[in-house]
Amino acid sequence: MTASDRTPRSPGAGRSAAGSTTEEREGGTSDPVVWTRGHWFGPSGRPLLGWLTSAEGRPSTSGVLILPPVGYSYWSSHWTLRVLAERLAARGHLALRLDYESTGDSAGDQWEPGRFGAWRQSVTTAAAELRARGCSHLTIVGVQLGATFALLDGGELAEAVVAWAPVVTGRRFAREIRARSLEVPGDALPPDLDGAMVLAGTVFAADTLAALSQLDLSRDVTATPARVLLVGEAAPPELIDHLTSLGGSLEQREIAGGETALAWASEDAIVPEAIVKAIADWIGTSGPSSGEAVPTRPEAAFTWHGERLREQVAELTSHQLVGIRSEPEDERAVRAGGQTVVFLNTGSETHTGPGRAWVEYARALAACGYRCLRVDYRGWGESPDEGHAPGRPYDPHCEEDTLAIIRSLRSAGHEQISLVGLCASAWMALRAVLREPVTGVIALNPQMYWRMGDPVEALLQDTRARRTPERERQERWERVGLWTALDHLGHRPWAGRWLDDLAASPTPVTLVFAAGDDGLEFLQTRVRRRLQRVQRAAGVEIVEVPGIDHSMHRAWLRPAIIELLLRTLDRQARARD
Amino acid sequence: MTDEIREVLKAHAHLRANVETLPEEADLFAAGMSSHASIGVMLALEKQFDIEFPDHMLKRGIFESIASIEAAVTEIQRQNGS
Repeated sequence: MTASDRTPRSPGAGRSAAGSTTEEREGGTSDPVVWTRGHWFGPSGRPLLGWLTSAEGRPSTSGVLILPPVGYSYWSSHWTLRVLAERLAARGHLALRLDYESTGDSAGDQWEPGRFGAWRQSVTTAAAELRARGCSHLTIVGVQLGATFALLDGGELAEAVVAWAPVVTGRRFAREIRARSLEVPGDALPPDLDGAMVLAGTVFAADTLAALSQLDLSRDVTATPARVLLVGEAAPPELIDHLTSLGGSLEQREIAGGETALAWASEDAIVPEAIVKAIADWIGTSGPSSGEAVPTRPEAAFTWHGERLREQVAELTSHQLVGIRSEPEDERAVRAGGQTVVFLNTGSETHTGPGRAWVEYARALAACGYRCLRVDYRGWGESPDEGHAPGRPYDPHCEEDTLAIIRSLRSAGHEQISLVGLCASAWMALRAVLREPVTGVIALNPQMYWRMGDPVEALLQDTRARRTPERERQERWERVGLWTALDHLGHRPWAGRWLDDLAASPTPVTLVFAAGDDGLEFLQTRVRRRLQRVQRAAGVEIVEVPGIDHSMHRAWLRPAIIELLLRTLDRQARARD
Repeated sequence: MTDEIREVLKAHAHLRANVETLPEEADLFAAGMSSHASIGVMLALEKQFDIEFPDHMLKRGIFESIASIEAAVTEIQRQNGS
């Protein structure tokens, strides 16, 4: 399970807005294969993780630093930025996709104060990293808040900047965040924060919102690089005038369609091909590169909530699925006989999990001695796509990938394995363990009414609306006892038989539900008697958690979920023993 | 005011439900308004009523129902003396 033998892949192949592949779009020319590797760099105490993409692993004198949005768009735009990096690598550039400090896989906790400055500093660190790798020409491509950073600091750091949908007026951006967010209850705030809002799992502390509110690109940009491209919707005239007054070459490309990567739910997001092409064309082609393969650092150690951890970019299975492994830095702190805990993709989000929850859970469990792995299915995050990109919830290959992950870990010596999934990946885990038993499954908000071939909606509220006639029918017949009577007679729906199979399997199963979640409502309505039976048989346990939401975006409740995970892992291990 | 709020919602909230008949206490997010659409609603309300939501009112809960929006707009108008 190392990052040393990564299979190359062709650039940007997969589903796109045009529904075609890069090769087709670019006239059938054969693209060079590109390689992507996770790479830790920057301060040793606070390492950053970036994904380096290059043509056949070669270095380049032309670097492109790609800065993602902060917040939910990080997940929606992920596949688009990966495609962009692969396209640029195919044209001879060395692309680095950055996770700012305390975002994505990088070190740092999003609850710390001073995040705005830390994010900006990460940009400087990443630019220096590409310079140190021999990139004499540097382009920074930023998206939303990333574009703002690119414009603010690009004059000092780079020869060219591409700003896609920059946040021009911070006050408006901060107001939008506030209006869309949930306020963190005062008693859940860390002592060094005055207040915080949470938007889809991303924490915006009061000091971050205050810093954002002060931003005005039409005033704050003090220098521009030789070339600047503004792409997306039309930029405000004040910004154009200001950037023009600073000199250099400014171009604008008004291209609609960016919302498919920036505003749509990650489960619906598609690559805005025209924008990606415009950016790649504007950056152009770099000269041929030669020399040694781009060296990378797949492993880093850092402190998380007072505990020393080690994280490693990992590859596993014959598909070379990519993930991040977390464990105690000191081997002696690894829990004897403890499970390796595998976190599976949620929605269409990367291995970082919903609102970075998998990163926080994996690090918290590693701090308690568990080995953890957050891993991408084919078509998700950083794994090869093999025609499955971008990954969508309930894609049939996820069950096979889950099995492959279990078997790969087992062959690497991980005898005790527990799976953690949410919604669709909980569903996949509950299917997979019927074929490959493990030490335990913690299924968060599984929707066991869903069957292969059913529609897939990004939002549970849309699924609920679609299922309204079915739900009403189930409730009606439940009230008159029909389902219980049929269960007595041995007539059980698919989900009832599934529960029986789980109870009969050697794998302990814990189903964790947000209070009132549709998945729980279904079980309690349609298969109530079966549910009671399997709970009595002790093979399947139900836990209802008040306050949490389906996607577990309420980041201030994560300590309670971590406690629950620890208790459940311990209980499942004892059941095994 | 409720009619004006319903007009704004009709234009910007992208609800699945019929806005005309939606109960005032109904959860707009459950009725299909996305977090992103709520921004369009906020900006349209500010334009419609010539107000600006102060920071302390900018939270998801304010835009959760017609009733909560009406209460917020009324409060801002009261503070503005209009």
